[in-house]
Amino acid sequence: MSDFLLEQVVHYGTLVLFLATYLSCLALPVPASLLMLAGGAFVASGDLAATETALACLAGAVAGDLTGYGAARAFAPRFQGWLATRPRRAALMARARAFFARWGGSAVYFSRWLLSPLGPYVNLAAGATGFSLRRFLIWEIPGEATWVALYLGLGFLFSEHLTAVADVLGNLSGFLAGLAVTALLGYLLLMRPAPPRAASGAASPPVPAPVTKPSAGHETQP
Amino acid sequence: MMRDRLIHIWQHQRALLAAFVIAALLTLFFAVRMVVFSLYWADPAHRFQPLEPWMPLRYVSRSWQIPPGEIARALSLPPGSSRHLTMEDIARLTGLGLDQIEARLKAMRGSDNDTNGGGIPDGGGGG
Repeated sequence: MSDFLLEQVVHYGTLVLFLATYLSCLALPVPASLLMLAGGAFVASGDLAATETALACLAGAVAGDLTGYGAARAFAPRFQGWLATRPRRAALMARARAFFARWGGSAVYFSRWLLSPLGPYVNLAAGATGFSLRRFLIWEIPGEATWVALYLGLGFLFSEHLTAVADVLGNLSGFLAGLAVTALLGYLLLMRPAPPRAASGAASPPVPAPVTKPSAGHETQP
Repeated sequence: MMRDRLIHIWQHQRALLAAFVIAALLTLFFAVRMVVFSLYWADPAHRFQPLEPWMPLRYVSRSWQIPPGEIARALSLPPGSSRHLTMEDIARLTGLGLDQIEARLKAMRGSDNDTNGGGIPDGGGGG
């Protein structure tokens, strides 16, 4: 399938790159990274024009991200009632909102390029939590510009070793995204309430142990 | 105690714990693949790849360091037709197989083809 798509880049040029980055930003399995690397290599060989190629990739990515963000934002109100009936999910939503209020800009910027496999889901979360469109765009455009410049640039520089670069980058990107998700889940696990009857916990604050039946002179202080 | 905490997590946060373990295993999987691919591609012998159908003429010209005009002449392509031709198009036009085209390119490069200066990447694979 990659070979077929690479041939389409040769024949239809930037339109294919636009569609590839658009669809990949909706989490569809399109090898946008490989195609952008090839795009960079084709710019180097004179098969594609640099500005047109960069703009097509950027426009596709921004349009794809806005589609995901917009869809989540449009559908979110329908789930408000459903969320309200489920306290745990409502709490999760409240935490997501708080997270986006504080870290939303960085989450959007870094999930465009450094943690790009997470991008489509960050779009959905940003839209669903009502993250403002203006703030979204402020981080979205530089983030996607970084992604496009990075992949087209690497394709341009290493045009003779496309597969090698694609293999290493693809796995590096999966590794970094996996590491970020693992760290986030680990953080959530540690931040959950400590066992109710635990006297003390390594990671929990030193709260005095609940005394069930105070017997004379016996304190359970550490 | 950490042990109590782990037991508590196992009893009450099993879904989150499962997600954490799966994410950690996926991270490890990508780390191993990244190392394997880096070692594979670090070997110059692996970088020289045969022609692929998707490769455009100018891209091949750049990789093999042979001017596009010379390739077009060697393969008897009509002048001006080579702008967006891929190796597959050229194979169809000339009736030559990719291996025959590659043999001609090698002949044009002469003794240079033993050096790995211009490795040709393959099309997909691995990813």
